[in-house]
Amino acid sequence: MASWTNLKTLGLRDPLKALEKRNPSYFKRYVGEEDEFGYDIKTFAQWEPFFRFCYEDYFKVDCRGIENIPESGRAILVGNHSGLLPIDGAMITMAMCNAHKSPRRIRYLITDWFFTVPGLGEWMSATGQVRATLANAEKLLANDELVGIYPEGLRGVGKTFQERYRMIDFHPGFVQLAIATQTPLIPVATVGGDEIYPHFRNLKSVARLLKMPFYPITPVFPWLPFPQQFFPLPVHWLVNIHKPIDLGYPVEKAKDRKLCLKIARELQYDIQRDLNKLLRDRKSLFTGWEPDEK
Amino acid sequence: MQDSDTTTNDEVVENEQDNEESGESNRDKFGVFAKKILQKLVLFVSFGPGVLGVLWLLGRILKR
Repeated sequence: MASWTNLKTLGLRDPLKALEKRNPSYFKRYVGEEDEFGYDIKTFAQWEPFFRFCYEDYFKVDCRGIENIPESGRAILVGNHSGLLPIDGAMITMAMCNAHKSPRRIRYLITDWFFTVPGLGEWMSATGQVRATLANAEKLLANDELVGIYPEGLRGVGKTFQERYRMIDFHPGFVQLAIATQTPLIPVATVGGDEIYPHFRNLKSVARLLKMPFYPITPVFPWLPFPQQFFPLPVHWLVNIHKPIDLGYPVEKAKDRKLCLKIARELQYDIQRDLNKLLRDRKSLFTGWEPDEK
Repeated sequence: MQDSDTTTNDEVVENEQDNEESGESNRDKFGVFAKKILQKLVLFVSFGPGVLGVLWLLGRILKR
């Protein structure tokens, strides 16, 4: 059962103070910083208790290998995308913010569609996400940030329940970026996200009408009223962060499309193998893994 | 004869074409309007009361 304790600080008049008290090293790192992409620590502090509640109490996320993310310096996190709403990114952000010994923010590259919904794009930017363009990614890496990329893109989040945990081919752009900027890649396998919203069917014609990337039919959407239609199932999650991979290719190799595609596929298969293993080891959807397997 | 016939016919055809075009543009305008209304309705139902909520509301109205 969820304990709700993490929601105590939600809606406080001064969320920054609560964040400073609870997570001083994260607060010190980013307070007063001017961010050209719109990151606002106050907005982050307002929403952090809600996502921490999801992370610790609701989904009870197990995070393995958080120490593989460096305390400083740039890196690109690459993972499998899932869950209709991009909650997987938020869970990894929470892990990095609360479970790492040197908390940092992760700048996820997000699709343009978010900016077509009034207020949503601004909120995503204020919580640390950045519009996915090559120039933005290069700027972030030049500033030694952690950049999160889901190379499956929107196709990954829109997978149906039958296609869960079957990864869609990675776009090789992230490998190109990693070689061009000499940045290590950190693969991340996430189990749980594909089952929080069992997605039975995508009504493409309605999606086209509403200009949405997909229009899912789930047990609660579009049947129940707002906000019940967004309630996810309390599935037990596991985030497995692999060791960083230094590709070691010279910058000129970034233009070699064949090489980039080959590396992207290898990484995709690595994550898929890990997902298959984690799913085999899982005892139950809601209780997760045996403690000795963690 | 042929010329005048042709001219007359052309005028008639042009008028008919104009009428058709204005009819088509009206139809297009109506289509766009209907699409917008449908879009708003689907958005409202999906992200508002939900399908079950709308059915419940309709049920209440019809019961009265």
